Amino acid sequence: MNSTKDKLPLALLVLRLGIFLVLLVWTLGKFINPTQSISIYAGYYGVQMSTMAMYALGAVELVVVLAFMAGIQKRISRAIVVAMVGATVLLPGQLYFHPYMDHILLFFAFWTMLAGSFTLYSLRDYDTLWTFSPASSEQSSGATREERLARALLLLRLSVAIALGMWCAGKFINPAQTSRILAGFYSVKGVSFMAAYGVGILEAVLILAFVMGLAKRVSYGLVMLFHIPSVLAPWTQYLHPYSGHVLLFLGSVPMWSACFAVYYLREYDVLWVFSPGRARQIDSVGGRPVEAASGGH
Amino acid sequence: MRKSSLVGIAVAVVMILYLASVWAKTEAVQRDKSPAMIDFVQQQFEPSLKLLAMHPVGDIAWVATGNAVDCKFQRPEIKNCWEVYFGTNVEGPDQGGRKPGRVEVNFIVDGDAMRLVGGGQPGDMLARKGRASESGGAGTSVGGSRGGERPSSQEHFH
Repeated sequence: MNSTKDKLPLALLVLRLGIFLVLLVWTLGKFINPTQSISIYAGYYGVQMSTMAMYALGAVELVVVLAFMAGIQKRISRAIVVAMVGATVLLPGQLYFHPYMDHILLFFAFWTMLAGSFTLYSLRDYDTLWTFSPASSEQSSGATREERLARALLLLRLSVAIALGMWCAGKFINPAQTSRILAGFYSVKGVSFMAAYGVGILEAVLILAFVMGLAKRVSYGLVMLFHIPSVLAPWTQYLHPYSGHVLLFLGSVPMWSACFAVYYLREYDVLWVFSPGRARQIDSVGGRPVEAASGGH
Repeated sequence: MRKSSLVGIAVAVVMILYLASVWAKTEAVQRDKSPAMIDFVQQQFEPSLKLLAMHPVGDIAWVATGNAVDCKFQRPEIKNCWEVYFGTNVEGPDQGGRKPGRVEVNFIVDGDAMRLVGGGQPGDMLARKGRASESGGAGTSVGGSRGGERPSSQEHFH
């Protein structure tokens, strides 16, 4: 089994790519469809902006996003990205109290993007692939790498579980929507309410196993695999990212990145997991997880 | 606690407080204006005979959402945009033998001009009360497996 030293950079790169894609589309939108951006800023942030001001903001944002991707000034660029994504997550505000109306469910995908942004900020010193700045010899003080990683994985797992949990609950609260979505996006027509409930129950079992860290290889793996259709389903709409709600659909991409990171680094996901007969601890010298009982997931 | 952590927490607190003030204003507008928006649509549409034949059960819901996600992303040119939602459960009959289902209709209303916007018709679940109104704009969707379903652009993750 590879150590985190080998695995962590790849997982962080996948996270960074997923988040970068969304940020880039958001940023370019300020140039391509400034009306939409102005409307969003006015409505949700209470900030009235002119088209020129939106272009200027877009230019600044582009610099930050490219620095984020290239690993330049990681501490600053990633902190700004955390703030940007945090603002997006907070954007619906009181509409979160009506999660099954008006596309609010889509915003839960951005919770995973926020967790991913925080992960990239917290573990920035170990994010070395495809960056201009190599790993710093003097790495972040405070918590060790494994402690930071475990905390980040917990956040990623919880955020994915919340998003999936909300969508799963929707199958019971609004099964008509499930039928429509399956017909509209997956060409699975004629799904009855009972079938929607059945799918919902299976999904709920999987999410419970996922959030509890049970049978990680299977539960994390299935979550990662089952999320692939969600990412690909609206592929034709991705060609027109500034029409309709496609900007919101894009949240599924970093969410998949988060699923991948949690799966790929599952052996280091040790906080708040329920693994009967299997205790893990962090080796204080090597910083690697040690299993008290044999057997992997 | 590290200095950078304190700065991060302070920024987050300020951001949340600011956004909370925006949310409060939005909530006040929602509370004050939504009855008028619902009334505006209800003056023009009523449940159709077809819908009544499907035996609506339970409450008929009319909800108006100001600052709606639909508006911001689909109709950003409208400054005071509202989404007015109509929904009710129906018993049937259902061609596929599955029941019950849910009938949903969404209207986009320009709150400044007080007009319905967007193409399309309210479907056959709602009927116009008269011809005095402007062109109606709404999307209709019927739950379950009934015909006339419109692939919703609502969340697609399943």
